[in-house]
Amino acid sequence: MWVAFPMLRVPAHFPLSLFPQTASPSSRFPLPPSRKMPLNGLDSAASALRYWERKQEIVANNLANVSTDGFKAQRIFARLLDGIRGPVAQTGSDYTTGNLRQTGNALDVAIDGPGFFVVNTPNGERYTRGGPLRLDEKHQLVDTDGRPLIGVKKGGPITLLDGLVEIDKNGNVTQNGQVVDTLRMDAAPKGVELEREGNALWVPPATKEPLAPGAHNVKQGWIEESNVNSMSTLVDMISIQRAYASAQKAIVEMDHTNETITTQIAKPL
Amino acid sequence: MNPALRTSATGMAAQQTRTEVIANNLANVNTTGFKRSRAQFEDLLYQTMQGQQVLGSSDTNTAPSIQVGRGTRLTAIQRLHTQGALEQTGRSLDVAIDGEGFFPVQLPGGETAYTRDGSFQISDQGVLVTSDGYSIGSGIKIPNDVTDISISATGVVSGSKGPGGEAQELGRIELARFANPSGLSSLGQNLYSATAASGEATSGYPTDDGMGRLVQGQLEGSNVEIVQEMVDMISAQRAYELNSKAVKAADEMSQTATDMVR
Repeated sequence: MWVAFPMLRVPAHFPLSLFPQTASPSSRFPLPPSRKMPLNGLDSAASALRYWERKQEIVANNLANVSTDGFKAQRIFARLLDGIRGPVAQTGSDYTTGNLRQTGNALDVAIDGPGFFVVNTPNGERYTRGGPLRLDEKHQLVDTDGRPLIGVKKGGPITLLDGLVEIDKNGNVTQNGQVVDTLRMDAAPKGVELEREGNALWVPPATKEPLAPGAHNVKQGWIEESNVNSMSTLVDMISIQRAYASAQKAIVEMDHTNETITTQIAKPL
Repeated sequence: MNPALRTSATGMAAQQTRTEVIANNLANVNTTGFKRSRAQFEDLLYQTMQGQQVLGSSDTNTAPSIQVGRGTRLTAIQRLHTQGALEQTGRSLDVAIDGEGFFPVQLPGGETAYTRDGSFQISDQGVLVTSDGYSIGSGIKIPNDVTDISISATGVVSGSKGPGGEAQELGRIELARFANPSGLSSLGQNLYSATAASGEATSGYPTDDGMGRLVQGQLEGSNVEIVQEMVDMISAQRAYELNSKAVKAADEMSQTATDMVR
């Protein structure tokens, strides 16, 4: 069976351009004339190889996490910086909400929209996108790895009683008809890239910003799946491989030129 | 060595675990009271590195970060305690729970375990027991001469002596409920035990305070849905394949790199 995938697309200038995702046009950052030496092409092509290798590592990590709950796909792009030859790689996150899947478990929570829950770790507060929660020995509400979630009321861990737990849209945790606490939720900072720590955690920025009222959309009994699009990632992988090969070809060609210079032109008469 | 190779290997291992969990779910599609499981993963640590070109740059503020993740790991196999379909058996000692709750069961060691499997029997001592012979709750005695046993939605067990005899109450089945049923630990034989993760059991009579009701003559089937498992299996298989393609791509890139040297 042949299925058409609308996301199958190849950049128009592919594979001639070594850096199709360059963010700023190079004309805005002209290189100092002193650095434009004839053999610099080799350096540029080598940095392109490094760039595409990084990109392949990022894509491999995205594919490895295609079934990781709450995972946000990472992307890598190149930037041209003043005074630096070649592109500088930079990573960013795609914060779109992943597929939500109903599990029916009372302590599975997902966020359908923006924001993060806040957990306490030995290294300080960290952000997480939810997932299956549970109780620990002290009856605190903790995540899968046992890190307590932080409530708004006490500014610390949420201690539960026995009995059914209800968590509403705004993160209010209700037990036996009483609101025990409210899950603290922070917003992703604008313009700053959140640092990833692994184990489903993110490092909060220096200035934390609570999620705006009305933006809360907690779903109890649901799990947020990974937002990695495996098809477009596969296409990315193919284009990375081709671009890598063309950068390699460029090096081989430049080497050929050098060979001609050294063996033909420099030949004694 | 290209680190993407190892990253993709963790991805392949994850998909393999997922397939194993799906296989176990499918194997238990006809197990009374079985609850399906789901493998849960987390991303591994990230390595923060910066483009080599940035080193030596005077303007360090403009140096953007690159964080490269190193794959995924299994954190838990989570059990999903959703309601299974009720199946008519017509046997008077088959009881299904429609809704929340577990039957508390007395283990020989004195501990209490919990089950949703209500295929009960009467032991040779005349006590209501599970199919494995563990007594339910504190034990409900069923005298020898009682014939017509009925179990009400609220858990009242009654029986009458001989045909046309008057119905007598023999006991009442209690249910137990947990704040986090998926935190229960599985003992096999359809039994679960309470853990810190599940919280302590709160007991109550059926239909009281959010407890489920009892349905006599029916059993709760497995909550495994074959179609769902099949779809999950296909996606696990494809994801496994994708990760193997990533291994191949990383390998071919290394090959391309070595091809430069003539």
